[in-house]
Amino acid sequence: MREDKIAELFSEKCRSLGGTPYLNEEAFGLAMRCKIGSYEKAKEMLWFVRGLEAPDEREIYFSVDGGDNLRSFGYSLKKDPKNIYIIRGHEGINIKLMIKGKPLGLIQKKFEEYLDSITEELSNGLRSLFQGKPGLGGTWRFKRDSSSGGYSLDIALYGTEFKDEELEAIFQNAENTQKEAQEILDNLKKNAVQVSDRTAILF
Amino acid sequence: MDLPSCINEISGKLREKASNDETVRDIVRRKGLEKASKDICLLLEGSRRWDKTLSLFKERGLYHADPDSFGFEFTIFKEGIAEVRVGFEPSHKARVDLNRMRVEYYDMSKNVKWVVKNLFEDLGAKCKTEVDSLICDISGLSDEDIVRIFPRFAAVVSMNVRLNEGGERWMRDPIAKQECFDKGLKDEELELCCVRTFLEEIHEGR
Repeated sequence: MREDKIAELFSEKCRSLGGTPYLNEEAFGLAMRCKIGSYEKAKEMLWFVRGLEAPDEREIYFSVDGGDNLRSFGYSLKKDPKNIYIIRGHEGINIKLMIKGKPLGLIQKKFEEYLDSITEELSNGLRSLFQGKPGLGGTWRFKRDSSSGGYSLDIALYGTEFKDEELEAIFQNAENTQKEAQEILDNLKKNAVQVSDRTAILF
Repeated sequence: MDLPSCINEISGKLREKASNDETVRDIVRRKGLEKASKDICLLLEGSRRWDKTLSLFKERGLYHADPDSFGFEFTIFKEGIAEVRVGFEPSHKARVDLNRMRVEYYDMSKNVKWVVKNLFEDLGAKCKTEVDSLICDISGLSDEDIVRIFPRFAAVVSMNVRLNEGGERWMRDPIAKQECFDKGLKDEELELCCVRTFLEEIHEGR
């Protein structure tokens, strides 16, 4: 399918769900985003995108943003339509998963270091998310991808395809982790002093 | 920048916080009240210049979208660390850590990193380029040069787009046109020249 056709279908679907589509050229290809307000709609968008046929030459990256509540899911299409790219997070935490997608130059060592530096609960949650998943061992990659609360995580992994029910489990876990993220963020915000429209100090 | 009065004000705030917050007490114990306050003040001044520079870049049409519609923010952590938004992706941020005296900028684009590296090295930073990042040692920089790091973050926004467009957005700026286009510069060198020229023109957000 041609890139412009995919963009048209994507935009149409996004609007039909009450979202706002926008397109942008990124380093890794054409990014199509749909700003959308709910987790359920984001999921519907991802499911729709999964059904699209990949273009022949270009990588197309999709993500679905929840605005302030940053619930993002994405799908990266290359020749292999099984590529899936999931981003999930909240203001304070971004989790990005990439399966068989373009690696972001992430390295396992950094990831492990980072897991050690974040809260134990969050770290355990993330570790358990992928435990026992065949083909994922040793494929962790990490990139520091900071976010407003200072806690953020960006994970890329590839080599395994996720089935629908496995994706459902990931979403469920993502929602649980999001609650933890919200608590961390709420605590940080209690101590925030806004010094201008764009700047805050977290005491 | 009125550093002494800022230090005075922030010291009071930290002292007050330290009375009921273990983390703040620990920071003050480790760094000393004056150093902890000074770091926050340098970051505050940096944020002010970043803010002003961001607005001026926006006014000149140098961004491909409006940063204010995307919630661009600058967060200062009490530990002496700042995180600043450098792109339209919510997670695209750079970090300045005044404890480790380093700047971390994450990007996969080689040409953007080349420009940013040069912009930081103009200040005396020593930068190392990795596949996905640019890490700069800023330990030799003066207070003023540390503050000058921040307007450069505003210049990074949309840089990949400007580079893809062949510098078209800079054509509207007469000084950049004269100083850079008329010299026949292209691509990264053109972008670097234009950013340097514009930062100078706007006094780096002072």
